[in-house]
Amino acid sequence: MASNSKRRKILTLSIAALLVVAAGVAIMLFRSRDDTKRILVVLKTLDNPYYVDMKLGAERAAAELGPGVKAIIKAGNAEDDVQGQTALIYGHLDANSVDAISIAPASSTAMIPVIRRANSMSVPVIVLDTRLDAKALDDHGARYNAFIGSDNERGGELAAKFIGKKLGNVNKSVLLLEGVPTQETAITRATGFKRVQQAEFASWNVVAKTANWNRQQARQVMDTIIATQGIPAAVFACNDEMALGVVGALESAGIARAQWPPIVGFDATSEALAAVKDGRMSATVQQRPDRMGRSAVELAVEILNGGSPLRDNKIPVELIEQ
Amino acid sequence: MSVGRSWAVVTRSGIVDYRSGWLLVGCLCCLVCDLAVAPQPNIIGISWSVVRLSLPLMAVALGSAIVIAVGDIDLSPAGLISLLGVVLLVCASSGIPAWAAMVIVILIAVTVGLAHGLAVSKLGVPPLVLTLGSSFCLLGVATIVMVALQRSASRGASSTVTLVLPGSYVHSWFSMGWVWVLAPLTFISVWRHASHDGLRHLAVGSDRQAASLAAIPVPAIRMRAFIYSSALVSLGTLLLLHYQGGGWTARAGLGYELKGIAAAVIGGARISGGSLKPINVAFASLLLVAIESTTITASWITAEMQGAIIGALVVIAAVIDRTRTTHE
Repeated sequence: MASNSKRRKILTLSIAALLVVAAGVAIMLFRSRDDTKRILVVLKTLDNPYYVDMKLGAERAAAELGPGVKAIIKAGNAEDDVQGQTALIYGHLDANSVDAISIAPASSTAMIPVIRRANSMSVPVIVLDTRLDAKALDDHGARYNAFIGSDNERGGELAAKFIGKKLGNVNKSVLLLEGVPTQETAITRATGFKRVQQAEFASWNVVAKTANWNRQQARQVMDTIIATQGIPAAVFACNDEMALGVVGALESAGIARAQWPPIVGFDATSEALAAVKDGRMSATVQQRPDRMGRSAVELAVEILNGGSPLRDNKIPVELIEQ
Repeated sequence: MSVGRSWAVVTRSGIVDYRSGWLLVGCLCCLVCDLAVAPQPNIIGISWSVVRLSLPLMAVALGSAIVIAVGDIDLSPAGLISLLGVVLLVCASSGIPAWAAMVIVILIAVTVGLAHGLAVSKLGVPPLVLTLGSSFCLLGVATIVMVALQRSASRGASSTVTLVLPGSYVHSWFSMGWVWVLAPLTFISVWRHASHDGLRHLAVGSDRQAASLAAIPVPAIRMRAFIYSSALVSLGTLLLLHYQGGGWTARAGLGYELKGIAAAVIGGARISGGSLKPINVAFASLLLVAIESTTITASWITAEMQGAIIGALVVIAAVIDRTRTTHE
C-alpha cells in the first residue's frame, strides 16, 4: 500500500514536471517575433505621486509614438530600493527583452555597476531626475547617453529666498526636512537652500532632520519638534510628501491656521498644489515629472533611431506661491 | 536503477522529499512563464539571473530557518546586511585586501549573532523585540558611516575613498556564488539529518521544557542558532554585493529579513519551531525569486500591479502546498 502511494506521488510529480517542460518547448517553437522598440522605464517608487506623474508622462509618450514603441514601466518598492531596481534591470537584460533603459536611479553610486552592464550589452541608458556620481562613473568605466532632470540646487535656493522674504534675517528656528541623506537629489536641494541661507539669512537657526522622503516620517518628526521645541518659524521640506506630512502634524495637533509657519515643499504634486491653493502650504517648487517621463521615452526612441540628443537636458524649476 | 527507485533512495535519507520536487516544478513553471512573456528569450540568461539573485536569499533564509527551528525569530538581517556592505566599502576605501575584508565582515556578523544569542538565552529578552531593535540600530550605524564616506569622497579628502566596490574586489572572492551557498547548505543538511546535535536543535524547537528535562543545553543551542544565522547573513551580504556588482546603499538590506522568513516557511519551517529542511528552504528561495523574475519580465504586469501579484502568487503557492500536504 505504502509503496503504491509512493509510486503514485512520484508519477504525479514526474507528469507535472514533464507537462511544464513540454509547455516551455511549445512556447519556444511557436512564438512570434516582433520589431517593437521596447523601452524599460525604471522609476524609484510609485509610493510618491511625483513618480506617478512621471509614469503617466512616459505612458502618454509611448501611446503617441504608436504601436512600434512599447514603454515597460517598472518601479522599486521604496525611494532607495537599489536591490529592487537592480533586479528589474538585470532581469530584463538577461531576458533580452529591452532595447533601451531610462532610469531614475535609487542611488547615485550603487546603480553604476548595473549601468555598466547595460553599456556592455550596448543598451542605451537615459538617466532621469537623480544625477549619477561623475567620479564613480569614471572609476567604473560606465556611461549614460543622456540626463533629464530638474535644477535641484536652484529649487533649494528659490525656497530659501521665499522663506527669507517672509521671515527676514532673524534669529528663529527653520526646519529643513531632507530626503534620504545619501541621495544626490536630497543633497543638492538641501545644498541650494543652505547656500542662500548662509549667504543672506545667517541668523536663522536651521534644524536639519531627515524624513527619508516619507510623509509618515515627516509627520513624526514634526510631531516631536512641536512637542519638544514648539512650532518652527518656517519649514522647507525637500519634497511635497514630507511637506504634507508637516501639514498633517499641524492639523492633528489642533494648531490654528493663523499660527502655522510658512511651509514650502518641492515637486508640485497635484495634492501639494491643492494645499498651496487652499493655504495649508505656502509654496512648492515646481518640477515637471510628466515632462521628464515623456522625454525619457522620446529620447530613448531618438537614440534607437540613430540620433544623438543633448547629453544634459535640464528642466527648469519655478516657485508656485499661494 | 529506475528514476523512481533513485528518488526513493534519496528521499529515504530525509534530505529531500516530495516538497522539494514540487518546489522545483514551481520554479520550472515560472521559467516557462518567462519564456512566454519575454520577446526574445535567452533561457540560459533568465535561469542564471534567477539563480544569482536567489543565492543571497538562500543564505539569509537558511539562517532564518535555523533560528525558527529552535522556536525563535531573527529580524536583524535587514540592518546587518546593510551595515556589513558599508563595512566592506570602508575596508575597500582603506586599502584592506578583499580576503581580510571578508574575515572582518564575518567576525562582525558572528559578534552580532553572539550578542543576540546571549541576550535571548541568558537574559531572556524576547527575540522579536531584540532583533527588531538591533536591526534599526545597525541600519542607523550603516547610514552614519555611509554619509561620512560620501562626505570624504565629495571633499576629495582621499582619492582611495570608494562608494562602489571595485570589480577586482567583488569578483575575486564572491564570483563562485553557488559554491559559497552549496558548502553551508550541504553542511547544514548533513548536520540536520545525520548528527546528534541536529536532532537536539529540533528537540529544543519542538518542546523547550522537555528538551531541558532531557539534559539538552537549551541556552547554548539557542545561542548557536543566532550565531549561525548571522554568519549566514554575512555570506548573503557578500553574495548580494556580488550580484549588484559592488553597488551599495545604507539601507540595502531592507526587506531581506521578511523574504528570508517567507522562504524558510515555504520551505517547510514551522514558526513554532521543531522543523528544518535545508534543501527545501533553498528551493523555496529559488521559487520566490523565480516568481519575482516572472513579474519583472512580463511587460503587461505594471509597476503598481507587481507587488500585489508577487504576494498573491506566494499565497497561492502556500495554499497549494498546504492542501497537498494535508491530502498526503
